[in-house]
Amino acid sequence: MKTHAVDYSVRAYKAFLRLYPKSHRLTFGPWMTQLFQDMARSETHGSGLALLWLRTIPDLLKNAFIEHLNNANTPIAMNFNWSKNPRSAFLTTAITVSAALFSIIVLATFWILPVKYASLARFENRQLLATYTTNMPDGDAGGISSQLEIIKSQAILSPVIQDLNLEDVYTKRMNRDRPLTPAETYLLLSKQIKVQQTRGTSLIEVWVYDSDKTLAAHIANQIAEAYLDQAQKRIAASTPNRTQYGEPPVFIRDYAKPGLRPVSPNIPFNLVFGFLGSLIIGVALGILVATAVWLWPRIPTAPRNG
Amino acid sequence: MNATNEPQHQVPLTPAVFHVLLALTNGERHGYAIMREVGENTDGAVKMGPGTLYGTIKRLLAARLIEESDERPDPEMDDQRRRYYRLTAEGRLVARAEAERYASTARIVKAKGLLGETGGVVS
Repeated sequence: MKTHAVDYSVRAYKAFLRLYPKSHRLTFGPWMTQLFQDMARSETHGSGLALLWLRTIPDLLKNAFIEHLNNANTPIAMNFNWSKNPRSAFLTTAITVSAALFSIIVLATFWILPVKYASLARFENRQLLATYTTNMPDGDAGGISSQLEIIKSQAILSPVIQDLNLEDVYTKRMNRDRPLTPAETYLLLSKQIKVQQTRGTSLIEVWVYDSDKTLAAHIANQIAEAYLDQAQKRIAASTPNRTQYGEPPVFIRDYAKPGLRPVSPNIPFNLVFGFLGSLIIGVALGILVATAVWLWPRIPTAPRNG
Repeated sequence: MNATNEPQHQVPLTPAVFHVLLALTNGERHGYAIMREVGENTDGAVKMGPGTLYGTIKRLLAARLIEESDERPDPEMDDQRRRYYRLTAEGRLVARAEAERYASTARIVKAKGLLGETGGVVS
């Protein structure tokens, strides 16, 4: 296992060497790889390899940049100090900060942020628009807002929690010693749900977000069925069980299916805006550092009194 | 050797350059041995990655302060995968110039009373 980790690390390091100018890579690449391999082999205990990477990535970025600068300009003297050169300070800061920020975003997007899938169930409530609306409170056009709240109420969600045994599922997921109470489970579930009306229609959408795509679909369908059940009882008590459309007044239009791709993290969004954001922050910091380096030797010292 | 190449004109050196020269003072070394010796000489305070080490070696080779070595210290210890480096005469002069600069600074520090007899910082 450790050997595999070292082998993978060495291969990754070789790939990272492509950041260097070709001439430097051809001359020193094999020796740098050999040195990294020696270091990796001596760092296999505990989190040594991870710590080695934490030291190596800034070393790679900084020195790759310096070598590019060295290639583009005159050779760097023995006592060269990049921080005394505003242009170098700008480029080094901008590239290092941008690359570091973007690396963190990539790391978070692919390995740290929890993956979430979305499932959508849609049902239609024609009775709601046709007749039921007259009983709705003032300011609630069409009674939709009330219905959206009803869907997220305990009356609808509690049977769903029971049917799908969500107390156990969430307790195991959170690695808790004490089982979750119904109230805690309800709170967690209600945070996973988004209910909205499809604009200009009597369609109500129930979105459920969960790390388990199958469970997300089951929850969405159970909510739709629980609502359907309650709505039918309510309508039966107040109006005839038919509508002017000749169809049942409330019915499920689309059952939820497990999502094919996660909706979170949003990989294209994170990569595009992460890259742009990292670049902007890197350039801004680069300008700041370069300005400071440029100004530093030029700040006149205050004349001494007396 | 022109004026700018004279040892006193090449100092002060960056810490990385000086530590690599110091590591090679007692004989030729390969990259990993240099890195370990720098770590030991500085009690782990200076940790060089491969990028810093070979960037430094590249500049030292270009300035002819070090050179690649064809000889191998001990056939049993030799590893054909490694490249060995050693100080040139000029490199030794530059290392000495830098060491003298440090020594001169140390004398000033001592004269100012910042260091005690044992070398510890005076509080």
